[in-house]
Amino acid sequence: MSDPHQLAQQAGSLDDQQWRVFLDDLSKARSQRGRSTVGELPRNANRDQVAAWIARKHLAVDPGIADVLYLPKDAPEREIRLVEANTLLTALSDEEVTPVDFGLNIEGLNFKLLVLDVTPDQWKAIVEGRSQLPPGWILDGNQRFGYPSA
Amino acid sequence: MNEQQRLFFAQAQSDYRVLQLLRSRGEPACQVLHYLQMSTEKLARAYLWKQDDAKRSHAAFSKFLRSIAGDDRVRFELGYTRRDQWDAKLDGIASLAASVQQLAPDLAGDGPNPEYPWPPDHPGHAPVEFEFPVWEELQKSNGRVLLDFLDKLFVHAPRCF
Repeated sequence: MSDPHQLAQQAGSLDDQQWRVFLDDLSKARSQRGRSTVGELPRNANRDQVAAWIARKHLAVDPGIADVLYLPKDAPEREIRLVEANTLLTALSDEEVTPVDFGLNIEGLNFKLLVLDVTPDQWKAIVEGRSQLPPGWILDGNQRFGYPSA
Repeated sequence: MNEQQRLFFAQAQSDYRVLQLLRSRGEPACQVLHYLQMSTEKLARAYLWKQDDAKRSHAAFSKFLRSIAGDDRVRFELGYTRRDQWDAKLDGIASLAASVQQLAPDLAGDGPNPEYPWPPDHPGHAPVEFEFPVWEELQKSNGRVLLDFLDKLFVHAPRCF
């Protein structure tokens, strides 16, 4: 198999139709790779385990999600805070970026799931400390889930 | 359902009925795909309005799948008593669902969409003359799985959204 740089160069020479087919196939391969890393949700899972499972699940079922940060520090005991870099998100001003309660409802678990969906640029700004997180959310002690390391 | 959910679901249902009509009449793929994209986006927004979170971008369908992955009410309503089967179902349709979502002109960018000739600045293709890869996928087993899943969602949504 070609190395990643050679693959990219070959892909760059495709015509428009082939390029679209290539992107579709790449998306499928990405989802397949994600599926193999999700695993099952453990019984009586603790907050960190649930957060890790959800992060990997989101990466697997939504090809727009490129990276997920889990921010456990200073979060209430039953609250899971995720920041998700979404490549399909329309850019909005910082003022409009607010976490959303995903209404987590899994039998036997009692956690609130808050997700902050951001564009890749907003993600970069957050990770580099140039952008404000919601009040009370802090980067210290974060866990990152994303490709290719997830 | 709250009022915003009801409104989006009503419109999604109407779009979905048009989709079924177009399929049954053998109309061009672009027209069927157009209604498939619109009905799935509105169905997703109907669910997301539960949390007042349906206003950002056309990428609602994938966000919907992310959300129901952790919603046992939807899972049980659709008859998936085993989590592993539910997970496998969502994982199996995720890629095709994203391809359908990507048909929205705002997300397609310079690429194929079922509504307008593209690329926008210098059109070289018309949807009605184009062979959409996603259409070919929908004719395969995975496509039938997605459409069957949508059928179930439209039946059960009023009780679990």
